Amino acid sequence: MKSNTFNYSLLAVGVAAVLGISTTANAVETPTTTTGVDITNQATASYSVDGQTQPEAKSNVVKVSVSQQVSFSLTANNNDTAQGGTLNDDKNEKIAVTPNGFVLFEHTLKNTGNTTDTYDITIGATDPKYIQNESTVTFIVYAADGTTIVRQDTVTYTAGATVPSILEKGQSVKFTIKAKTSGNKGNETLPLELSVTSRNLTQSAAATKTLTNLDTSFTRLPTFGIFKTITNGLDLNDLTDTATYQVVVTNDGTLFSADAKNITIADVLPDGLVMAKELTASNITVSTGATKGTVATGNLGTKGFSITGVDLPVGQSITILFDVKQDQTVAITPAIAMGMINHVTVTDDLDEDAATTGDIVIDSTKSGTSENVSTFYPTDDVENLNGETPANKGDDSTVPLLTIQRKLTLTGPTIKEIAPVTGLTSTATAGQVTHATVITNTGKDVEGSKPGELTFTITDNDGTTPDAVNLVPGTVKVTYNPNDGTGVQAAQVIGAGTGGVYDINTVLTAGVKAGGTVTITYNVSANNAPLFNPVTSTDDANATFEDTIVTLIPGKEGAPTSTTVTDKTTVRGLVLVKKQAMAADCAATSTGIVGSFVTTDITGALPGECIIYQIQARNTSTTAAGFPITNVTIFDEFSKFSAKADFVVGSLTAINGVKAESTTNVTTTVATLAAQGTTTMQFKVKIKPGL
Amino acid sequence: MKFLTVLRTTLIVSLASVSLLGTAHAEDALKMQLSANKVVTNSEGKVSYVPVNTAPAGTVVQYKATYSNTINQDIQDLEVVLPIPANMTFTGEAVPASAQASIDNKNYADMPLMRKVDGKMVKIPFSEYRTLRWNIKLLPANKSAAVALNTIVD
Repeated sequence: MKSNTFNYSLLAVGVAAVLGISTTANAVETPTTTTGVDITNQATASYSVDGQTQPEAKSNVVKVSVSQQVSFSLTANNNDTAQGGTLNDDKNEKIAVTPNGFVLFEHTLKNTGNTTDTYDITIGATDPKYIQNESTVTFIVYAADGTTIVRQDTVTYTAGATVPSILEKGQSVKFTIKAKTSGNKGNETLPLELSVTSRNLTQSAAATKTLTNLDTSFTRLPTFGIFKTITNGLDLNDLTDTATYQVVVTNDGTLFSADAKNITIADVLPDGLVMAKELTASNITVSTGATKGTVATGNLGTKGFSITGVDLPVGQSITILFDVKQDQTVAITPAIAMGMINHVTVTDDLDEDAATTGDIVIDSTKSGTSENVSTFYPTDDVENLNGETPANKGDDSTVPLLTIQRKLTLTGPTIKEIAPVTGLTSTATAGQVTHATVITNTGKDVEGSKPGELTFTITDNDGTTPDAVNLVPGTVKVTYNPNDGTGVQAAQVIGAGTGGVYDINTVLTAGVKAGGTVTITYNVSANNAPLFNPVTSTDDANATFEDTIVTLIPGKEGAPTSTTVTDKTTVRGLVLVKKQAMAADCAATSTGIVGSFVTTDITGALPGECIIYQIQARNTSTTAAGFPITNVTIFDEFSKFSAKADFVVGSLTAINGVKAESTTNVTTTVATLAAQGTTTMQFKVKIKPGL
Repeated sequence: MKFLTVLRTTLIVSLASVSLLGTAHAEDALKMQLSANKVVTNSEGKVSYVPVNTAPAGTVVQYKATYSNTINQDIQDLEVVLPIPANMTFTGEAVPASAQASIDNKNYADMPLMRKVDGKMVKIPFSEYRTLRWNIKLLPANKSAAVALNTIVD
């Protein structure tokens, strides 16, 4: 009986350690070698004559000299064209394997001669990261037709062992080396060599008796980049408010990248937070080729979520948006929130085979614990915890809980005094007064970085219709002081929008930092404003005034309530009061009077008697908020009374002024009349006889 | 796919038929002559046997043993054994067809040979046949006969 079994019981025979690898290309088929063999045959016969057994008869010997042609091929059959290799050459180049996973190397040995041959197949093990006792070799021997299976089996991989295989002409054996790796990381190349020697050729003078194939595995795996941000902070002033997290998991392309299949993405919320809404597929978006997977957990009120079955081709990503809220088990403050970091974990069984151990990648935004990428990646990743954009592929980033605790103050009501007449426009500002009100960001969030987030209005107390005292259009300005050491910025004119609303964002697009201040200034003008109300009054308590209300209107999420400041503008100026009294005599130099000075009529005066007029000019503005009045001249003409009285020459006196008499009038002048300052002029007239 | 393996092998068989007459002994009642011939089948299906010195792989070679009773007495219980050489495979053709076959040169049975595999009887491939044997009850005095089998060169 012919024996043509792939006799692996002979594994122990001819163990040859393979110590090196040739990097040169090897032939996949030997040259044909012709050898001779003699085939002889002889017939025999036994017989009897007369019942007596006769000696065995033998025929002549027939000899057939056969000229044999011996050759064989050994090819590497993995499709390695994508890695730059050539199909069915002598190399399986960079065949993908996962860390600690299995790699399959496929080869075909074929007897291309015309005679049966025995081949010694030597399996090399050139890298200790191939684990022999977990590796196998499966072979199938095919008949010359290439399809009929002659025999098949799976044997244990034994490095360096020589396995004999007998193949008839035309027969081939396809064998698959299932090599287990261990300790290999991404981007590693592990070689393995396979050689086959023909015994027929060994017995001949052929130059090539052995063919060698070189296999290399290349460790590939996905590299996950996890980037977690908060797109909407949690308003600590509102226990029902929600914060929105965004998680983006990307299969970063690397030199050793591989598609990720059936990964699990899990998020565990820190104490004090729960899911504000159930996580559904609508919260998930994916890029081309990626899949959303299945939301396994993530109900309202739970402590996070889990998504399974996500596929992420190289370069693709999945984005998950979810809302959280306080569960009120933790009194969250901004300081506590800084320690509340929500971590994301990505888990991937690299070969999708639960039976394979040591090939489950766990990447997390949290170092330590279960994260194990350092076992698989050539270099460990970096976990950023303050929301920084990851610098390198595979780096991760998360961020502490972003909270909103907005606080704003509006301070500095100002009281100003204005002259009855001032300039009326933003370019004619003489005499206008400027009010200033200060917004201070006393919270921790930037204010006004979004339109509508920080606005204010300035209104009169008597409406918007222009009257005698008005806000000057075009004079409203804001001056920003970040209070961060960068100094006060230049004042900027701010225009009112619809409804007279001023939006800080229109001039400070980056908003106001925590601790920063914005000083609002605006001018008020007076247009022939009366000094008193009623106009006949000379009492300062009846001074005309206008209240201007600055209203701070925070908007958007977490907005504090509106606050107001009322500025006051009081009209001040020069009031002139003329009084009279009966003179004690008509002497020019005497100042004695009968009774007191009055503004009312005096009755009973007789011709030849004298009257003293007293004229007082007073600056009604206050010393605290007022202003000086310059170039004051009190002027009284004789013509006003000359028909009935005569000026007593030399009777003019002045207090706080420079007096001057002429034939037609008297005057008293003051260069500067300070706030609340007065100047008084007195003179005497004599009632004409005959009246 | 780049297929580099080209079967370009030819098998040349040098067929040297050496006819040696058995040395005659007075007591040798049976003489045998063995010959080898190439079996040629033309396009019309007609078969001829041609002595050849060389032949390509796959050539069908017929081994023919002619035996002669050289005495004036009948020969009884004649058993002619014809081996199938190594590097050749029996084609299944035997003349006469009553031959028995063996895969161990000891035990013979009618063809086709069978054996039990996994509880089922299956045919043994011809490639495992090693010898054929013909049992001839009587070869009359001074008569000749022949047996033959066909093989194919591996």
